[in-house]
Amino acid sequence: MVNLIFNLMLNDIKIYFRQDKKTHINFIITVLIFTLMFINIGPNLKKYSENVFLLLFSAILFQGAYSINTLSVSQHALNNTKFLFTLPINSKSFILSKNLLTFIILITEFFIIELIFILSDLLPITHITKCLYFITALILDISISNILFKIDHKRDNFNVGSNVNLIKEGFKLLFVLSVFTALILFVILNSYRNFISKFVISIIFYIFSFKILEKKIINQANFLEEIDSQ
Amino acid sequence: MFIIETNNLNKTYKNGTNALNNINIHVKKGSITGLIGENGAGKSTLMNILVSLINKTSGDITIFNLDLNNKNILSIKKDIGFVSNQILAYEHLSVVEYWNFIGTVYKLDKNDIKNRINDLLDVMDLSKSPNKLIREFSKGMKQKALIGGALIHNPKLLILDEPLDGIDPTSKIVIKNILKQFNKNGVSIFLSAHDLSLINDLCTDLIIIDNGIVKFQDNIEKLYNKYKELSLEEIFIKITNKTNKINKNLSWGETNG
Repeated sequence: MVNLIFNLMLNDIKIYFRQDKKTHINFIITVLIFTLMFINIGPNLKKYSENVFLLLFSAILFQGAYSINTLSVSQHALNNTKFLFTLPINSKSFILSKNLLTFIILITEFFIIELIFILSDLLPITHITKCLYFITALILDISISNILFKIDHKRDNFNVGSNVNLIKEGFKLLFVLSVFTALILFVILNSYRNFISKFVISIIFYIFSFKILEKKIINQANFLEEIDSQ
Repeated sequence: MFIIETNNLNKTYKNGTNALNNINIHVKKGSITGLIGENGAGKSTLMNILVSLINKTSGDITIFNLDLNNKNILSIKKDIGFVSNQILAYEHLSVVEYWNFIGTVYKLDKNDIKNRINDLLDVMDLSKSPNKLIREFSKGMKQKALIGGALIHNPKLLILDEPLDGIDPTSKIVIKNILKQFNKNGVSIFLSAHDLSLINDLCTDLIIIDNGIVKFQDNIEKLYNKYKELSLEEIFIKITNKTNKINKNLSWGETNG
């Protein structure tokens, strides 16, 4: 099972790295603009560095909350999911591979941002002691992603229909993500105390979300039909 | 003994389309059973239900004497090789990576996977492009990659939905021979096709489906004995009662020349 999960993750990573050149160029330009902006305004942020850090962390949480949806039923991923469901792959391996990959991506992003802030002297090196809280927040975020996917596993609607549809979908996404991100930040990061209890709660919540999603995907045909019909 | 059986199988899509109406089919173990019908007759729906890509509305399905349900689905899929009429594959992988992944899913030994991939590359005439991504392949080459993926784990049952669509004549002959060889070694094959020569060349049994209803199912020899001197195309038209349909023409086409 470990080998299968590893292979599923590897294939998803290959999808990303084998996209067309345009996507890679867009990504590089975005990173360059972000870096330039950061270098220019970085020293002025010192006063608000903790808040800016939280803002960037919220962006990571935004990304994470729809991660399994993006990795499974987005325009590019849906055919791959259908293909996987023609093979003897159980729901457990499928969900674990997507969750684990999300966790690796999110934690990499988190550490890169943390590192930039520490190296730019915007945050003290002692900030790293709070890492476990942020990791707990990421686990909670992935759990929420599983639950959102259980409730709303429709295919990518952003490219379908009119501009009104685009605005409607965008607004809905923003609202849902904002609510859950605020909730995670409030539950985990409002105070850096009681780490153990928060960690245990997030693990229990992850197991709960995993179980309900697994129950949903166990009937793969029904699940695929729901995606296509929504 | 049957390898696939359906009992009063129905499928109604959410838009109200009745794709299958009380379908009772029996695919014999060790046979090559062909499934023919017009576009939209329900062939792909039936095949997709058999591999659990689509949910049935009602009825029972038995494959390898096991009920097709959530409990048995994984053990059933372990012995099935499936080719869809859509391109369902990891298209961002090279053909070698793709077959390697499928071999891993079916828990084949690493050396076995390597040897089988080399054989498949040779037989499918893909040895010149082992590292080319599947999405960069032509339609026929993609189809060959999918067929290779369905064969690599040496399944007991092959479900092939229009498998030779878009494939060049030479490769068609090669793949037909491979399917015959697999069948000789005990693999049952259930395939749909619009190319009736494929049915003629390969199939021992035939199912004709029209508007979601089975119009004929039996040994193909019996069909030819019943409709002596008629080709399979003519028999199909007769059984599905489409004689009126084939006489249609475009009015402006008649005035040319």
